[in-house]
Amino acid sequence: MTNDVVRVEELRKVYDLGEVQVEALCGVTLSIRRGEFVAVMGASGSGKSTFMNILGCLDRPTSGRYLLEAKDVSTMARDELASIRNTRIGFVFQGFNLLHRMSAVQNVELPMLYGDVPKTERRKRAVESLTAVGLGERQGHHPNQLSGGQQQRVAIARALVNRPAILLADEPTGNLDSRTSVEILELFQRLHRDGATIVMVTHEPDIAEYCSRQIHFRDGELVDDRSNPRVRDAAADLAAMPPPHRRA
Amino acid sequence: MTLADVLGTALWSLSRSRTRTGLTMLGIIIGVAAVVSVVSLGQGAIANTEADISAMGINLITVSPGAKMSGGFRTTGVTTLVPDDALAIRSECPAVANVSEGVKTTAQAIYQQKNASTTVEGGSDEYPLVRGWRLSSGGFFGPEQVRQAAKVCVIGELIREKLFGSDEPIGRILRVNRVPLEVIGVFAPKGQTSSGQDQDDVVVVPWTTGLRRIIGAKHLNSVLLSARSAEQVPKAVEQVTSLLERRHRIPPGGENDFSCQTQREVAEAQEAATLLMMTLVSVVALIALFVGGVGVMNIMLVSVLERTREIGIRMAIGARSRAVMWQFLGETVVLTSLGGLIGAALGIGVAHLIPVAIGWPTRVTAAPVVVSFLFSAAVGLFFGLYPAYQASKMDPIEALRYE
Ligand SMILES: Nc1ncnc2c1ncn2[C@@H]1O[C@H](COP(=O)(O)OP(=O)(O)OP(=O)(O)O)[C@@H](O)[C@H]1O
Ligand SMILES: [Mg+2]
Repeated sequence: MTNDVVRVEELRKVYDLGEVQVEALCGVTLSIRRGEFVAVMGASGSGKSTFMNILGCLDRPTSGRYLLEAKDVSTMARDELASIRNTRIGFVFQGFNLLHRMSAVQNVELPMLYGDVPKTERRKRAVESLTAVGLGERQGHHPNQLSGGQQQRVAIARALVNRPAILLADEPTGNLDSRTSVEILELFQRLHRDGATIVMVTHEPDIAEYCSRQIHFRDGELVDDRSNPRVRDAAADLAAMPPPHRRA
Repeated sequence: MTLADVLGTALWSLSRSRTRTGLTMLGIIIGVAAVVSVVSLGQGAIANTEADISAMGINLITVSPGAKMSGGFRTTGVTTLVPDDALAIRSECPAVANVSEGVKTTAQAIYQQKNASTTVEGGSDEYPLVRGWRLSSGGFFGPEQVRQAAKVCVIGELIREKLFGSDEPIGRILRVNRVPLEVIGVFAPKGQTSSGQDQDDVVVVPWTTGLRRIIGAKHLNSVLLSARSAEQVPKAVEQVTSLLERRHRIPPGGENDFSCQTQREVAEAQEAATLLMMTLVSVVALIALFVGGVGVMNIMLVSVLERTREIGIRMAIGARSRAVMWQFLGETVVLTSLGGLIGAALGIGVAHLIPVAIGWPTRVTAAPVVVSFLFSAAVGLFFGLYPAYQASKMDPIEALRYE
C-alpha cells in the first residue's frame, strides 16, 4: 500500500454539455506501484486522455478519490495542485508543448522557475537533465531547430528536471515515426530501469510491448489490466534496425 | 518566482515583439515627453520672470488708475490719475526716490520709407533711473525738455534696427502720428520680458510730448516710481496710497480709484498665470497618458488571448495563478515604465531643444521627470491588472487545448 504512487477509487468524469452529458470515465479503480511502467490502451474516445489529465492534476474528477503518494489530491485547491504538478508530476504531451520562443535549456529551466530553485542551480540541473536524454549538445537550439524526436526529448527533460514521483505521457510517440518512437521508448526503459514510475498512453500494441503492465479502457471503463510477461527491449530492437540516417 | 525572475521574463517577452512593444509604448512615451517638456517650459518662464524682476529692480512700483481687482485684471479707461498726482508724490513721499509720469500708446513710427508699429511711452527725465535701463548711444532728455514738451525721443534697439538699419540714428527725425521727433539716444538691448513683450520695441518721449502732441489727453496711464531701497518698498506704497487717497478724496473704507503694484506682485501674477497654464497642459498630458494606458490594456488583452497556449503550458508545469498574474502584470508595468523612461528622456531632449529652436527658456527639474515616470508605472499597474487577472484564472486543460 505504501508503495502505491497512484491510487484511484471509483473515479468518474462527466462532461456536461448542456443537453447531453458525456461520461468519459465511469468508476475507475486502480493502483500504480512505484517503479511500474504502465501502458494505457483503448480505442479513440475511451477516456485515456481524460484519465491521464486527472492523474496529472490538470483536471479534476467529477467524483471519486485520487491519492498521489498517499495524499488525497482530489480535494486540493488550485494552487496546491499547481505545486503538485510542479514537483511531483512530469507530463509529456503528444504535441511536445514546448515554448517556441525559448531555447531547449530555457524550456527545461522553466519548471524550476516556478519551484523556487535558486537561479544558479537552474542552469546546472537543466543541462544535466538535457544530457540525460541525450541532448547535452543542443541546449541552445530552439524547438524549430530540432527534430520531432529531439523536441520530445526536451519535453521529457523538462518533465524530469524537478525529479517527479511519476512520469505521465499521453501518446508521446503519436507524432513520431516508428524508429524515433522506439528511440523514445528506449529512453523510457532506461529511466524505468533507474527506478522511474511511468504511465504512457499509446494506440499501438507494438509500443505497449515495451511496458511492464498494460491496462485497457473501453467507454470509460477499465476492462483489462495485466502484466506483460515478455517486455521487449527497445535497445536491442534499435540495434537490429537498419540505421537509416543519423538523428538525435 | 523572485522579482528578478518576473522582470527577466517580462523583458524577454517584450523583446520578442519589438514593433508591437514600441507601438504600445508610444502613447506613454508621448504623454510623458509632453509633461516633462511643458513643465520645463513653465519652470523656465518662471525662472525668467524672477530674473526680470531682479533686472528691473525690485524697487519699482507702478501706480495705475482704476481699482485693483482679483486675478490681476483691472478696469481700464479710468482717467483719475493726473500729472499733479505725480508732482505731489515727488514732493510729499520721502520713501520714493524717482518718479516718472507714465503715458503709453501704440503708434506707427515712420522714418523715410520705413515704418514700424510700436509702443510709444512717455516718461520723465528719471525714466531710465526708475526702469534701470541704460543707453547704448546718445543721451536721455532732461527736465527742461520735459517742461517744453520737446520733440525728442529715445528708441529701443529693435526700432533702431527696423528704421535705421546700419545708418546712424542720432540726430535723425522720425515721425509718430505726424509729430516729428529727433532721435537723441538708443537704449541698450534688453530682450523680451517673460510675458513675451519685446522691451526693445519702444519709442520713449517726454511724457508732456506724449500727452499733448501725440495722444492729446490730460490723464496719465500710470506713474512709475522707485523706492529708495528694497526695504522701503512697503513704506513707499503706504505713503503714495495715503497721499492719493487724500488727493482723490476717497472716503475711509471706500474703494480706491488707483492701485499700487510692486514688481514682486507683477511677477507673482505672471508666475501664477504661467503655473496655471502649465498645470492645465500637464493635466491634459496626463489624461493622454491615461488614454495611452487604455491602449496598453487593449494590447495586453489581445496578447493574453494569443498566448493562451503558453499560459496553459506554464500552468501544466506548475505555474500558480499568482505567477501567471505576475508575469503579465510585470510585462505591462515594465512596458509602461520603459515608455515612461523613454518619454522622460525625449522630454528632456525637447526641453533642451526649445531654447535653441524658438528661443523660449526652459528649465529641467527632477520633479516632473520622477512624477511622470511613477505615473506611467502606475498606469501599467492599473491597466495591467485586468489582463493579468484574465490570464491567471485560465483553466490549464482548456488553455492547453486552445488553438
Ligand atoms: N472537454 C470535453 N468536453 C466534452 N467532452 C469531452 C471533453 N474531453 C473529452 N470529452 C469526451 O470524453 C470522451 C473521452 O475522451 P478522451 O479524450 O479521454 O479520449 P481518448 O481515449 O484520449 O481518445 P484519443 O485516443 O482519441 O485521444 C470522449 O467521448 C470525448 O468526446
Ligand atoms: Mg487522447
